[in-house]
Amino acid sequence: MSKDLILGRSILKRSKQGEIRVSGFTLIEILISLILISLGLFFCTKVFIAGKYLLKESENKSRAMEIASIHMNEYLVKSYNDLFTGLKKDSGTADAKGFFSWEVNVTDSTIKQVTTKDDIPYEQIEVICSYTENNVNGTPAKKSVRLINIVPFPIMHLFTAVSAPASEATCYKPKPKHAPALSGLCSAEPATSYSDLNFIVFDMPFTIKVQSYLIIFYNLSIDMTDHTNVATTDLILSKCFIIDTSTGKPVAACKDGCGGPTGTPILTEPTVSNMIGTQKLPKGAYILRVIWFKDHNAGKILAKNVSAIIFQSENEP
Amino acid sequence: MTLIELIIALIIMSGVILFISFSVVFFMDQVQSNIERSNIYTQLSYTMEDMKMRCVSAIDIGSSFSAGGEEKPELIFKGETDIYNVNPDNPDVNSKSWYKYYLNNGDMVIKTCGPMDSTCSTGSEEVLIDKIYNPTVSFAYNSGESPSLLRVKLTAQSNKVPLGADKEITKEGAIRFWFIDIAK
Repeated sequence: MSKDLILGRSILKRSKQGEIRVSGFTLIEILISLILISLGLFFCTKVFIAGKYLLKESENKSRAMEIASIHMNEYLVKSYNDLFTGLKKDSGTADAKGFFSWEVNVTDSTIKQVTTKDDIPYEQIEVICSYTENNVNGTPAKKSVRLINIVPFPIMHLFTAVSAPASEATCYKPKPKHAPALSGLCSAEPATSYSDLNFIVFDMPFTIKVQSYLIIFYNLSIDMTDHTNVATTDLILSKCFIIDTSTGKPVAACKDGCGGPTGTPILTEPTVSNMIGTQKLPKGAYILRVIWFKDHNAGKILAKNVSAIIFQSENEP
Repeated sequence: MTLIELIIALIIMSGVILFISFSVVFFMDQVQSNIERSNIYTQLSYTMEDMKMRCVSAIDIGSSFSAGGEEKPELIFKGETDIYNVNPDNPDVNSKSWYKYYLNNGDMVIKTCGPMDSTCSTGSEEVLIDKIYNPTVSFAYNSGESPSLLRVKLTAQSNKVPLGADKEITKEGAIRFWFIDIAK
């Protein structure tokens, strides 16, 4: 039977010789325990530091994502034409300290078609939000969030232009084959075709990116500066052409002008309006050209204002 | 064990116990502050998503913005009652409701009102961000931008701040309106 007396961790032991020895936590044991506890706490602290880093990293990424998303939305609400003709690059900082910087790149792109159709254009928007943050080991590293989206080429397009020319209407008598109903009193030499006429009142360049049908509206506002001998039956006439800029000549669909000449009594109507539809045109750069002339020599007529709208549709309107 | 040894051991153990106690308190505090922060993030994100989903169907605005740019603390608009079924042409009057995002007694709330209540004066409210987080909200239209683009800024403040984090949490977003212009 043991004669040892147990008091907590300390044990009073009786040796064979009858001495009482005390055993318990020695200083070494406590120091070792302390080292072990310190090591444990050290790793706990490491976990906290890593947690802090991850929290900050997550916050920064989340904020960068917000900033990029805001700018992406800002560009997505723009129309294709706005993106096509507008700024292709933009950049800035999102906060006063300049911690987050952003940049937007807009690129003209096309989707290649495997069929005979034209490639489909679209505007690609790229938004990058960059920031510099320290890694776990304390070294700074540049990080960024990158978003990409597209604005597709719309099926329908609208081109508009307004001009204020000061040209004067020329008196011109067309050849009967071009305008059999007209019997003007001008003495000007007739041209062989309307397309040879140089009575340009308005040129509007435009580009179509896929083969399309066009509907053209234009309106000529007239300013009569001299009424002398002008009769109520005297007409002001206008006609439009679609000029292919690569050849400088009217397209085949509007070889001798798009539609017949539109005539308006000079005295009673201060404007000339016209609406013309075209056949399907291939993609390319064109000019809408409006010419005008009067069928009598009397009076002096100036063009006060010309406005034009071209409605472009991929489908037959 | 001598008295000296006992005293040294006591001092060291007291230090260790104190250190462990502070560590535990600190640890718990960090856990709580992270939970609170996570809660704030959730409420901010929920609010922003709620706005994006409701504003898609907006067909009228009761708090329009100046075309020269303006910032407001509230947003009133008319949209679908069922926000998951967007049909602006639906002739049923009750298919639309007026909504109002604003701060009510410190809470960031959305109020849902009847189809004829264009000022959204009476209706049911849902708290989106608790007042304990001291939320703020601003709706802004910036001059020169598309009139259908609204900028939203939400902020909230955490009562307990985790190590190395900021007290204020901000969430910003841009909301696109499909059927109306917000700037007039």
